[in-house]
Amino acid sequence: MIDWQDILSREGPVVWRTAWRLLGNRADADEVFQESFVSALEYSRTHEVKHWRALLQRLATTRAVDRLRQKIRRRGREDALPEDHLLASGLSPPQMAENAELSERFRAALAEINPKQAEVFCLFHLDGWNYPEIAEHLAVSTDVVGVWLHRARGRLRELLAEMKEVSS
Amino acid sequence: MNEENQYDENDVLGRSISALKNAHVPAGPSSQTTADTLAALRRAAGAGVLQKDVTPSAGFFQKVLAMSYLHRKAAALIVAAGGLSVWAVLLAFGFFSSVTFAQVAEKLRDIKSLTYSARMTVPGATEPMVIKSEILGGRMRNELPGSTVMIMDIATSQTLILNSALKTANLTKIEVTGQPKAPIERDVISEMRSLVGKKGESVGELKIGNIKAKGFRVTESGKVMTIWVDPATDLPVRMETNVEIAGKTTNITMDDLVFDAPLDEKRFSMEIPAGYTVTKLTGSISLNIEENVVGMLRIFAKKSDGKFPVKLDDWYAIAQLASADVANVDKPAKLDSESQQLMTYTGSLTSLLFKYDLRKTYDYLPGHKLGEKDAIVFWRKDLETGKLMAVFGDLSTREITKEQLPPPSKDAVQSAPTVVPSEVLMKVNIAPAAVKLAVPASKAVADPVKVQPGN
Repeated sequence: MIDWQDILSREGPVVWRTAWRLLGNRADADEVFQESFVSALEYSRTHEVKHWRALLQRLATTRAVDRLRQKIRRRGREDALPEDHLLASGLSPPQMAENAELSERFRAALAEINPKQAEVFCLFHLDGWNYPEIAEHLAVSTDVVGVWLHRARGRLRELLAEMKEVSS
Repeated sequence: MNEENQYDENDVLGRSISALKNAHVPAGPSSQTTADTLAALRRAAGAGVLQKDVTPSAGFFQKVLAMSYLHRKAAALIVAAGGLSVWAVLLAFGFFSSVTFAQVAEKLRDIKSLTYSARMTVPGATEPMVIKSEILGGRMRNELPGSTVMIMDIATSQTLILNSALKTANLTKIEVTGQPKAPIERDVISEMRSLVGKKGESVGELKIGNIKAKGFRVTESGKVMTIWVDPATDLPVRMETNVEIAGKTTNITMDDLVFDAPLDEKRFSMEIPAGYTVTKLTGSISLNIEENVVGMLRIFAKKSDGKFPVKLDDWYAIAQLASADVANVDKPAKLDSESQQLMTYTGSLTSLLFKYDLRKTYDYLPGHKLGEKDAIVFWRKDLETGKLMAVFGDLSTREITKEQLPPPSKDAVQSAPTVVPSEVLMKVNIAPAAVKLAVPASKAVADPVKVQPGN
């Protein structure tokens, strides 16, 4: 019998952080948080789960990227900053503003690239997964992971450069 | 962790990654989010279990109401609201005239028979729930999806819930207090004929079966009901309205209304078939709204260190107060008599306030605690007398003036918007008052529960 209370207690903060970092606001992060756990439950009905954290983090990343794509497409790129951006601490106001702008553009760019590439990119660069871990969870080879990462980086650079040109 | 996570801080991608990685993340998830997620997980886990099987160790309500998640909502709506179909009928009559529950109940006893089907569209459900209802001689029979039949005897305030698949029977006797005096006998059908067309705005014609029905929209206390009438009989053939239950808007359509058709009395028998496991419940309900508010707040405050709920129908909070194990699908929880009564008060209020409009003819002001004698926590404008009655934080009740009305409440925080009363009822058992016994074979009676094809 799965002890969900225990899993929530142990893995909840990591899942929350994954969702919030990509979405930047509490309401969306809350929904993705809940969706991730419910999806994990559905997955566990037909699969043995050895590492709950990895599963949940991956589900949170996937859902957060999906949510980001929907939101960005509805709102457009040049929209208001996420509500919590001002909570950054330890930085001067100009630094906070620059980081907030970078984060927002980055989220917008993530929403534009191929979803699988976005997922791999986030797992690697934001969640610290290595190639074999990503490969195992996505059921692909490490070569494929490398290719996706390379393509994601290239496309993101292009999009970020375009956004910078537009804004200047 | 990856050791290859190298990126150039000098390029925009590197700086963007760094900005996102190092952004301050507020503490989370919140305790509310965690609680909501846990509840969602347990519901999802429970829905799967209940569709497959019900274990012998499941509690009483888990057995009686063990059906698909959709069906549980139907049963819970009926049980928690004191019989939604009953209320829909009673209140439908109430729309034609301003009568009290007791008067309407008297009217029901005057009708020889009435049959109809009630279709309820519940938010989140993929298809509507259909409940078939019959009324004969002061008794009402509701056939719910999933082999469940509920028979209500209005005169004796008894309800029998039978599940022919699980062979379970729940017999509840409710003492009703607070009834107004001197109920008025009326000829319901004559009254309906005289009122149809007088009240309400015409909304055109609609072919319902072979009948070209004329539609009327009636607004009473802010509630809108559309009534389709057979011009040949001046009697309704369909009625439609929306109700708010536990924060969700549910559309109810009553169709196939047939008056005074011959019905088999055996279908309304309160006798329990042989081989059924029986549980008996007793309780009391008052039709006095302030009594229910005071009763609900008293018990809630007792269980919550003096705090009042955030809203009158905070079923999630009530479920948590009723038992620490109430959300655990696999562990039947014990429900003490106070918790039973708390649920009864809350369910009664849902029904009794149906004709009232939040913030217009009643309001509940959260954020108060027991003992705040000058704080109005609830007020109501009586629909018949226009009197303003208030319940104060010390649970005293008195009439107030318009000048004393507090500012309107704001929308209450939804503690767990997806929890409905069925979640509460599904997880509790009745103890120590429950009496479980099987009906001896020697007292067997013909099984009155005939599940209609398609149920």
